[in-house]
Amino acid sequence: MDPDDCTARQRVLIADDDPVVQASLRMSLAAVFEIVAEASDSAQAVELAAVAKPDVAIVDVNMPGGGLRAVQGIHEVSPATAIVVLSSDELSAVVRELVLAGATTYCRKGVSAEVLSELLTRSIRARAGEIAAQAAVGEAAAPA
Amino acid sequence: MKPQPQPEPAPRRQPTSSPPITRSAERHRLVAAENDRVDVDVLDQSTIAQLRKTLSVEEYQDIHRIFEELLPARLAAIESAARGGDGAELKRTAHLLTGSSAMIGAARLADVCRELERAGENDDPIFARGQLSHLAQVAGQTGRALRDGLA
Repeated sequence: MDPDDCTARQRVLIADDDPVVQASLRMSLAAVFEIVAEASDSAQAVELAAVAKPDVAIVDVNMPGGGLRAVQGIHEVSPATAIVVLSSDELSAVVRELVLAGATTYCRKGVSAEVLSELLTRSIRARAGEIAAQAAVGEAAAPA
Repeated sequence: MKPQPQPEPAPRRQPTSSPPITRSAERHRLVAAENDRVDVDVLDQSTIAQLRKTLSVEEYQDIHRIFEELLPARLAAIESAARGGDGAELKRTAHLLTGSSAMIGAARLADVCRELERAGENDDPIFARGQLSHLAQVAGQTGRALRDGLA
């Protein structure tokens, strides 16, 4: 999806094993985003990302199977998907590890829907920019 | 001058399974933690205001219903891990409740759960067990405050 296209709703995958968090995110974001899939563990998150190719995935750090596996897997099966890590702690070592593994950014649980929506939109734009830059580098490096 | 006879040294106490000095130190640490505690508000009103603004009344009630339904089992899991001295399980179960509490604005409960998470991470079952009654008390306060807010 074109990240600057204001007419289409951006597509979100929610990956969190906590039903309270899942429901809260789904209900809070549904007015602005299209929730295309919900996963309760890392394997399911990767499977659903491969099929749905969401614009952005929200990934819980401590979900069963591990947030790291989910981030690496989603990055592999759907490289254009931006990944926002959801954590109860701010800037824990695990969050830093996930960002290094391919997450676009992180967000603390309990932030407002407005802040989270803005963060998701920015992450989608940032990921689209990275993909475009990688493509440009690839074209420049390709033999004429 | 004639040297004074030295008193007999006191017989050394045989160590018990839990040396008294350690128990005393732990008690001191728990009391200090209790005295140092600065409780945050039971509910974070800004998170609640945001949720109320974003969600319909039915959606808001729905999230609270799910939270309240899951709460007894989550408290039991934390207590079981703390009493069993299972640090990894304590960290996991406390983390789960930290997340959902933070999402619905149950700030004090999230705060206590964060402390329990740290106790799990630091493999500190004595401190964790010392926090269980406080956890139960805060969970009760949270339930009442949330129900009052919905009434």
